[in-house]
Amino acid sequence: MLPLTTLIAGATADAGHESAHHVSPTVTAFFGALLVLMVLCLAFEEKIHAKKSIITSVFAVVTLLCATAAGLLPFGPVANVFGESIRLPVYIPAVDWGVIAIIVGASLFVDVTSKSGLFSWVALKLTKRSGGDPVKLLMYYGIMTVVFSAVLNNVTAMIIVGSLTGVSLKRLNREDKLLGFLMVEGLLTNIGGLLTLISSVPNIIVGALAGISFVRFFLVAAPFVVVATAVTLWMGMRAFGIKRLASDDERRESAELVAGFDENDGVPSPVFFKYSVVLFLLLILCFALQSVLPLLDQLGMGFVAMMFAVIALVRYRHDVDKFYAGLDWDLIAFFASLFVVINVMEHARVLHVLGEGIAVLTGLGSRGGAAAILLSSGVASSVTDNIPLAAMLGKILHGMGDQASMSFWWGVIFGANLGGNITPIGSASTVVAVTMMHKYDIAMPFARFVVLAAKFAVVQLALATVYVVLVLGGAG
Amino acid sequence: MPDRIDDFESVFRSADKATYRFAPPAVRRALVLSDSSGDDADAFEARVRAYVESGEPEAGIEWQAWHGDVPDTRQEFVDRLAAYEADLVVTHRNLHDAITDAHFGLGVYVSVLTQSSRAPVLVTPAPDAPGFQRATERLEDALAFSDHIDGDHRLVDWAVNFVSNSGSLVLANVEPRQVYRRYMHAIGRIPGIETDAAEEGIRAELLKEASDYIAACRGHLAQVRPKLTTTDLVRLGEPLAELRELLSQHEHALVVMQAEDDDQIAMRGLAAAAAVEFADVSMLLI
Repeated sequence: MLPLTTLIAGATADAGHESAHHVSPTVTAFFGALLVLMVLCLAFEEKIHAKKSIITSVFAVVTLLCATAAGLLPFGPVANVFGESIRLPVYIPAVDWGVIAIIVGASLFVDVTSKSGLFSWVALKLTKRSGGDPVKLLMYYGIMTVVFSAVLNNVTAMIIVGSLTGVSLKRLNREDKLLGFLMVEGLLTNIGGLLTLISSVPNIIVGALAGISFVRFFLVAAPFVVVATAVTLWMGMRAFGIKRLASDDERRESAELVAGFDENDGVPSPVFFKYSVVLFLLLILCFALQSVLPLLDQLGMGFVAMMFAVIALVRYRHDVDKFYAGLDWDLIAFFASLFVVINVMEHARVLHVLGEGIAVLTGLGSRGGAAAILLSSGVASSVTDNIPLAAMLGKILHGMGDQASMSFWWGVIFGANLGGNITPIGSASTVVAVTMMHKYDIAMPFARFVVLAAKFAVVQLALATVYVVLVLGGAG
Repeated sequence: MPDRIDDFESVFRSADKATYRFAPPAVRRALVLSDSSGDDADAFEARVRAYVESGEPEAGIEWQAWHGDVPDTRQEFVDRLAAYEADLVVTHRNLHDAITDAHFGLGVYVSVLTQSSRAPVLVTPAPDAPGFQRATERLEDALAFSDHIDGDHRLVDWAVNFVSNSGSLVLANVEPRQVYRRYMHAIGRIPGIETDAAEEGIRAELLKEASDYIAACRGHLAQVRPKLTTTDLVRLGEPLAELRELLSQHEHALVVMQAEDDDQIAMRGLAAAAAVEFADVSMLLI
């Protein structure tokens, strides 16, 4: 580590005007090394037995201390649009609270509405409709995974569909197909994660920085999601030998077995069920129209998510603490501390240096550059968390201003999401899929996952590249 | 994350109900077993045949009989029984037993019979017991009684097969309160489990499983046995006390119970206790 005096001497910061401040290459290199170290720790979080949040928090503390010592941080009051001066700790404005609000609000909303039995009702209804036929079951579960990933989040989608898969295949005495089902569902979560602006964290971060609206995001992503889903399902059936039932007897027997599922069992109150359906539709509608609705257009998507969480929580007004306790605090602390680290990196001009590297890719033009960004972010997010990747690339592209073609943003979005399908640690939902495989005694070491998933990931990335280059590349 | 996976798995497992389709047990051969001889044996045989046939079994039954002689060894008894290849054995309490007081138990031979044969055993009171006539009058009323009825198709099938199509069938499940309390006591000492929530949740789930299954049985039986009156009883309690209460309301009822122990070492606890306690009713031990 560099001596503190070297750091201090290396930077002559003009607080509040980072573009103007000078940072020596040595200091930038030092902070760059810290960033690389953090990314490596995140990639090996299982090996070092540390949760993401504690890794990023440690680096947030270290980088804040070092940056303060180096005089890189803009200490001092923050002025708002009314000219009022507000004193905030320097790390508070570093956090993108809009993103945090979306994540907290959406998590609480999904947790409360899932108590209505809405998602299990849909899942069981489709299971019965399949008549227990493996091909229909895979198609229904696959589509359900994509839709749930899109409107909930990919981790919740994997948990709901994966746990139903375990129960229903056991019921049908087809546990030998469990690997194929869980694998395909795991891969589809990352495709479904591309469908809407709120489907995955990289979408939320990049969408917010790029100024992509909910509707625009959906319209651009939907055609790819439909094609990629169909292709993945077809490949999954072939790769894992999932075939239709051959005889009438098999069909009758399977239909009788799945008929035992009672979709109403998990519905505690029909009124709350209907209330949840209405709330859910309203939430989607508000997300879709947020940018044009008065008041909401100023308050933003984070407010929409939090508002609906509060409305949903009214149903459990005496037990809200249970829902607060159920929040994924590791994820929230991870985001908050990650934003702090990235903000420090921005002040240390590490992002500026990375941007110069990215410029080599963007220099290939709106088509070639988008393809290069997509593929490189895909590979990068396969071995480390796609969230810091999306956050950093987003910041870099944002810093490029008008020079950043829209296709570059889409390259980041597609690459960061689909890269998660290459390895079992590439995304949180594939980690869930592998956890479930282990639960059902299916051995899934790292290499086996890569071997099984590689052909799917390659096809999906190829499809995405073609789509971004040919369809979105001309968008400028 | 494992908690959330388990939460949803629980929701789906709970929604996965045991379905019921009546599958009439194949009773082609029945063996009547008594320690009487001559007219007494003939009278017993005629009485129990009429009794069984009053239940309108699905198919005609080929009757065989083994009266009187006592085998020398347990093995000889078991081997000879097996040779009949019976689908049902009908006998009386205290068969070949020197101790004729029914309240000491079913008798050694009947106990061996229930454990050595896969075929259900219909045990009546001893022919000379005061309750014999009343207990073998007509199969109009049956009690399928269990402490774990969920998914026990065999119990329900036999009970349905042994009651007349226009009769009355009680499907009863009594979860033993003592066992429940024992587990709750253990749960109450584990800091990581919220005791009140666990008590409430486990009680509700135990009763729900049985209620759901009985509801499925009744729904199906309403279609295939429209004239059969079915009622349910699902509660947490003391099984023998509940059975006593039920029998006070259904005096002529045939009690149908699972008797086979999983390890085939002895008669299943609840059936053994009921067999000792209720000496003046007929019991179908399956």
